[in-house]
Amino acid sequence: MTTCDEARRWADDWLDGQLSDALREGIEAHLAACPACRAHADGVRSLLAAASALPREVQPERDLWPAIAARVASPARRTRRDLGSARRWGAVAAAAVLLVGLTAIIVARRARPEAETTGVGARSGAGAAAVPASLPGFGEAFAEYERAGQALRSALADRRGQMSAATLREVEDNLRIIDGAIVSLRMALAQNPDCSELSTLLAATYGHQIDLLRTANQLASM
Amino acid sequence: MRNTFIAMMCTVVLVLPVAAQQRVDETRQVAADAVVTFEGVSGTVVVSGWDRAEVRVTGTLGRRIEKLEITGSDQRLDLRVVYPRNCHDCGDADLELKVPAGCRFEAETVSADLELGGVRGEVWLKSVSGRVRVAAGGSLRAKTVSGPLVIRGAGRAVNATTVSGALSADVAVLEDGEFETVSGDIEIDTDLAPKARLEVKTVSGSVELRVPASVGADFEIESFSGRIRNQFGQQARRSSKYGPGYELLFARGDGSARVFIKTLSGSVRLLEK
Repeated sequence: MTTCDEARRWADDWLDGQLSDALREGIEAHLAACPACRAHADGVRSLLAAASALPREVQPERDLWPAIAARVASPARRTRRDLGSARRWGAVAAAAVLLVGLTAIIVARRARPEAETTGVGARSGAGAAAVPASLPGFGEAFAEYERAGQALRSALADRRGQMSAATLREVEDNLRIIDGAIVSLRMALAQNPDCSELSTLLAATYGHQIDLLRTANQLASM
Repeated sequence: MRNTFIAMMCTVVLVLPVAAQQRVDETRQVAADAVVTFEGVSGTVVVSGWDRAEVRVTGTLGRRIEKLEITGSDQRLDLRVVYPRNCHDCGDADLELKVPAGCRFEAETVSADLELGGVRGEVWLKSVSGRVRVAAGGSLRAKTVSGPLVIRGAGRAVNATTVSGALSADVAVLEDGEFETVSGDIEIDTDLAPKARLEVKTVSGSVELRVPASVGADFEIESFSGRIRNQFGQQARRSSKYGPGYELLFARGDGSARVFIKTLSGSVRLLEK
């Protein structure tokens, strides 16, 4: 008997036709009887359709991150100069948030492990045949991450004096760790360009980098 | 006379820091399933769930902290430690929060240590370098940069991430688990529910997964250059004739749960508990 939690957890894989027969049948029976989970699955289907229809370049809207924007634009605590910087940071942050969300969806879907289709355990020993990383899109996605990272680093450079020395040290130490990981992953990918698992790890690591830079910029604007 | 003077001076010196702190003792009525959020920078925050439909905050605020701002309604209560702008050494906020056990709780800190227990609702915790320790019954999302993240007896859905912080989870039964680090080591001790999904990713951290011998799961473990060791018998094999990659693919029991572990250089150990 498939539960609501299970149906929602596997909705994405079900829509991709990546489930074993047993899981698929359980989820389909559940969806037939559960309007709420059916609505959830419809929502996931719409999101995936929207993600696949996205243009290569997306111009972020000013209001993508309203809470941050509101904070940095708070008039009681900002000078005119700060406001200009805050607007720029708000736009950069918004762009990064949008980029990370979209790129994560695209990369995850291109690199996800291929599931067995012939029953439990069928994948064992067969090698988890993965979608090749050479599929179009990975290079562009990583280039987008690099661009967002550079923009956030630039915004942070303007504001690093506003962070405590201890926090700045934590941020810089961990950015170095992430940068080292990215270099290692890129070297490994150069040796194995078709390894989608490495691409997935690289995308996740870029995600950590963007997230840390975003957090650091946020802290510097407090 | 001299001794009395010294005693008085000692008393003043001891009392001054305490006097410089602000005491906090605030209570607000909220719904039993309200959203409660906390935002702070440094110090300690201890959160515990209780069976009352109210939030109580007690503790102290450092000398230069402006205030503890409490805003919202009975459906959503936001607690925020307010600092003067660009204040880098304002002192710590050491607070204890009692929240409804069924609430949804979110907290974000920089270096403050976070400890949470007894909350059955959704929990979302984020810290840069603070130590995060959770013992909660609901679903959990937790993220640190360098702070260690310790999860004990959390709910059945856990999403935990660090950059360099060590990540340790001891969870009775997992249904949906995602654990991810860049260089932090990951230790997970758990059983997997039928049809569970567990995904573990790290670049250079080591991974140790301890599950019962009776686990019913399909395992897919891959590492580019890290060593894979499996106490259940099957051993890793090269995933490519040319590259250094290794993979270990096998199923146990009914294989209805699925476990994915990926590393670049981190070692992986699969152990029987």
